[in-house]
Amino acid sequence: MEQQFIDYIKDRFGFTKEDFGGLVFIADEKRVYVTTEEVALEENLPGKTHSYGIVAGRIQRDGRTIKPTTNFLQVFGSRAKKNVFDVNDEEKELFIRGTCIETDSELEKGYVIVRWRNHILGCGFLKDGILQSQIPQSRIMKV
Amino acid sequence: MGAKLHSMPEIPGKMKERFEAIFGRDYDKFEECCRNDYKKSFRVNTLKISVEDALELLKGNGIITKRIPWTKNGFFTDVKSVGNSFENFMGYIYIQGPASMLPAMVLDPNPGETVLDMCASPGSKTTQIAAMMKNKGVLVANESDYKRIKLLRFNNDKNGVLNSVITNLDGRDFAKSKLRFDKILLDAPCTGEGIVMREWEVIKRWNMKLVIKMCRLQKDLIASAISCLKPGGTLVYSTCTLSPEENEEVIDHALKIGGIELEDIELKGIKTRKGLTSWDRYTYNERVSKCVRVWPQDNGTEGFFVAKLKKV
Ligand SMILES: C[S@@+](CC[C@H](N)C(=O)[O-])C[C@H]1O[C@@H](n2cnc3c(N)ncnc32)[C@H](O)[C@@H]1O
Repeated sequence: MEQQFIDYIKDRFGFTKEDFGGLVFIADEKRVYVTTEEVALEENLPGKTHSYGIVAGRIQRDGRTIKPTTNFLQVFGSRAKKNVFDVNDEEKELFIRGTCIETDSELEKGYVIVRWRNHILGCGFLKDGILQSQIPQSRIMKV
Repeated sequence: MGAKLHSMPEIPGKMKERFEAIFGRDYDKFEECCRNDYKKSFRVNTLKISVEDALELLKGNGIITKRIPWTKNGFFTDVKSVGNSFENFMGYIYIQGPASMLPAMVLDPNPGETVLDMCASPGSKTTQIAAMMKNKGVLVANESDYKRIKLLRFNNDKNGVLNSVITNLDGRDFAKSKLRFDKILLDAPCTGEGIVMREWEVIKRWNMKLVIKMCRLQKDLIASAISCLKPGGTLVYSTCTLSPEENEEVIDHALKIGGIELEDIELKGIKTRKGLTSWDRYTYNERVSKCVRVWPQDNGTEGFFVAKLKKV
């Protein structure tokens, strides 16, 4: 799953190997984590390891699609070369509150990195002229 | 702290009696301070933004800040809704009590070190330590309560903590671990007397049996922490409680175990008190006076206790 996720984000967002220098992706049944090589190579970690670094992607129910997380994109999204969706001040307020935005954007259908000025707000999903905020309920700004 | 009074429930008799014995003439000031409204505070998360950029952004959004004198990255604000700000959404700031920032500062973790946060959830100090380590080195964030790991996960994710592994062990079992640490933070489970003004639940839960139960657990946890420190390694023990049984007595116990030394703690910009060397019928090792007590009424913060130990 790790490699599948890496291939996907490289293809979708134009990330390169260098963007993740010194980092390692590790998957379990539900998630793909990104952590440092030092952590991944530590041999003496105690048992009952729960998880690593930050959750970079969530494996969807179909078992194939991996959705990049808002948290991952907030850290690495500024290095992306494509499928970045710029929002204006008004749209930003809607997006961070989890609201859909109508758009005539020509970006490809699928996950996009949503950016306001130089701030990466998180993950969106673009389909049929609608940008759906993918920010989890626990993470959105309360109204 | 502002002057607005809020209606905290009565402090129960036994608890009050003990606070009076700890604070002496200062007790009234303590109670008054508990009833005063407190200022919100946060720490800039330097893993995601520089302090300068965060302050500029906050200012632009009408959030006026004042640096917490004893910190580099901590700030007070009168804006109560700072928790629902854009900056908090972005993980640029972390809402954290002004005294709660002290233990990690005393630990002073550096990039490249191997560090254990033994009782980590919800991760205020894990995220602070990771920022101090600049995401380099190995940070083991442990939490024994599986249900509380979700919160720790949430905060590590939101704050961009890459150099950490979350483990789900009883801190007492770390003694068996092969991994040895340069630095350990033991921010121990406690009765929380130093945060009564924020969490009235503390009053409802409190009784002497709980103090004794916590004391036993804390002694076992500190013994475990000492055993997995590298020679020359540093252990910081902290609580947000005021009971000597949960503080000085635990450090006295650690000194009896041996192989460790208490270190002086130097903090600038905050009024602190020395660790108590006697309490009730007990006298503790004189060296426990090197520990630091932070009393709410002295600085308008939560109450805290911090001790710094070095493995010899
Ligand atoms: C004071 S809180 C820690 C706060 C945390 N360090 C922070 O700054 O956000 C103590 C934590 O220790 C956990 N705990 C309780 N008993 C424990 C044990 N035996 N081993 C490890 N953790 C324990 C509790 O579930 C609780 O989350």
